[in-house]
Amino acid sequence: MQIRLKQEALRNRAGGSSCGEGGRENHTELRPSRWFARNHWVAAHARGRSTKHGETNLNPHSNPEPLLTQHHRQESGGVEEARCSTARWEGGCGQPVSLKPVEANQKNVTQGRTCLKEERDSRKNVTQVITCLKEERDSRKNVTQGRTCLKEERDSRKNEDQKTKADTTLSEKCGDMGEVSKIRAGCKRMCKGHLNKVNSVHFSGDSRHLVSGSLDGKLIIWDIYTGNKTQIIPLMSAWVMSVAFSPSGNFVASGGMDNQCTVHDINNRDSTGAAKISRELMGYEGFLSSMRFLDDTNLITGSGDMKVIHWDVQTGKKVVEFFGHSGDVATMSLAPDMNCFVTGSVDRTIKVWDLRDTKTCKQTFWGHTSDVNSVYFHPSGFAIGSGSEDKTARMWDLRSDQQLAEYKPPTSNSGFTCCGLSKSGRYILCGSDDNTIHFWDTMKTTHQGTLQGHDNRITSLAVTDNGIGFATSSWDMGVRVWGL
Amino acid sequence: MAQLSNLQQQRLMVEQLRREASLKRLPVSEVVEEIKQFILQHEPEDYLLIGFSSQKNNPFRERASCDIL
Repeated sequence: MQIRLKQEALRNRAGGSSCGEGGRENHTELRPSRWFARNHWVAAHARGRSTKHGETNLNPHSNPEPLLTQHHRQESGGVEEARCSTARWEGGCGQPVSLKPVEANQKNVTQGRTCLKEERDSRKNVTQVITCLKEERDSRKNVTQGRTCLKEERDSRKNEDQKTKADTTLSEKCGDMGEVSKIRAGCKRMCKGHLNKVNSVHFSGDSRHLVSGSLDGKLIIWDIYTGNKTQIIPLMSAWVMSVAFSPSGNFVASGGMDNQCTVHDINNRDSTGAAKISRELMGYEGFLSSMRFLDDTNLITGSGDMKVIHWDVQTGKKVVEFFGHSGDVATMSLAPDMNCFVTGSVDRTIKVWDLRDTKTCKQTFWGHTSDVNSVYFHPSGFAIGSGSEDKTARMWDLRSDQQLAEYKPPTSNSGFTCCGLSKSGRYILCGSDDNTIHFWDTMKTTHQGTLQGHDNRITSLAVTDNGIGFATSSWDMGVRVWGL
Repeated sequence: MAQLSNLQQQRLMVEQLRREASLKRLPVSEVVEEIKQFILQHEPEDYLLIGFSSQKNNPFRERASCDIL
């Protein structure tokens, strides 16, 4: 439209209806300001179309038909002359010119046309892109809002369902259970030997050997029947946070601030006489906080980079990585049937995972108001005990997917760092920052007493498989074994 | 796992919540009953609870010295 007007204006100025002769004198001044319009006009001519203004009597120079015809004629040997095809108002002279410049001109024109097209396209694209970006930003905002709403809805649905299933409380149901006597266990063995804080203990499957890891950079394997050391394993890194004994008793795993998990073979010594390093598992971005052997080949680790990884120790390769936690994984416990395991984390949740279906976490328990420092599977496999920084210990049930009980000592001063359950599951024991071990009757939720002995914070607690006793480690450099 | 955009992370979280919300839950009365039964059944094995029937089984017992006759 604009082009038409412009051309009409030009014609008018030129003083004639035909843009032929009349415009010849003036066309040099009459340059449209818009490159766009100009080239469109030129391009249109080059294409051989009549321009939009419907003018048929065009400047013969800019009419491509003669050009083409001339070109063809030249090819066929005709003797027609070619004329300058530049538009009049562009400064074209209309004089006969050799074909070559004409061809070149046509090339320029085509190029001009392509440039024009590209520019038009790119302008369209840019506008489109801007609109797209805006829309995307808006939709993202909406989607995030939508997601938060959805999340809340799911949470509340979960809570509602849990409430409908909570048709009774633990204490009600267990009113008819007999009372348990006050705890009679005492310290039976004092395992001395570490030269620095002891961070972790774990029993072997034979319920006789215990491994402890300390910041002095050593793993010591104890025979708890006698209280003697059976082996001392020096570590590459002194910053050990967690140890594990394989059920067979053939391997120990340790890890900590060195961000790697080292598996030692107890039965094979290397040249220095220490237990041979069987495998070093690397690739962690955080400290190793917990690990457990499923058997001599399979090890599961939890670490400060929120990862839970199942390794094949023989090949040293990851079998599966479990995603879900949003904070450091602090603790882990295997189910008695070895099909599931549970992890506790700094993100205040306890997650249950299934080894047979590893894509997602099966259940999440919310309730603790601070870091979950320790979890322990109930011997029945139906429930989980946990101890937390929020100074409570709790019992959670897997099948009704909710908390069954909360255990608090009479004077609640310190968080719980470790927990365990007795063989039947009647007692829950928690080691605390206040240097004592607290006992509760899990069913009646009554506090049964404390065990004194350690002089500093208790870091770890391990219960034997056969239930004869349990062991604790502490920052006072000691390892104590408790029994009757 | 590759870095997921915020949107994708939210999506995953919502799916996880959906899964968890649709769990089949048993009533508490039933589950507590079963746990109770388990505990009562295994009480005899729980030495911390009932102690050792005979001190021979207790690895922590005081070892009596042997008299050589």
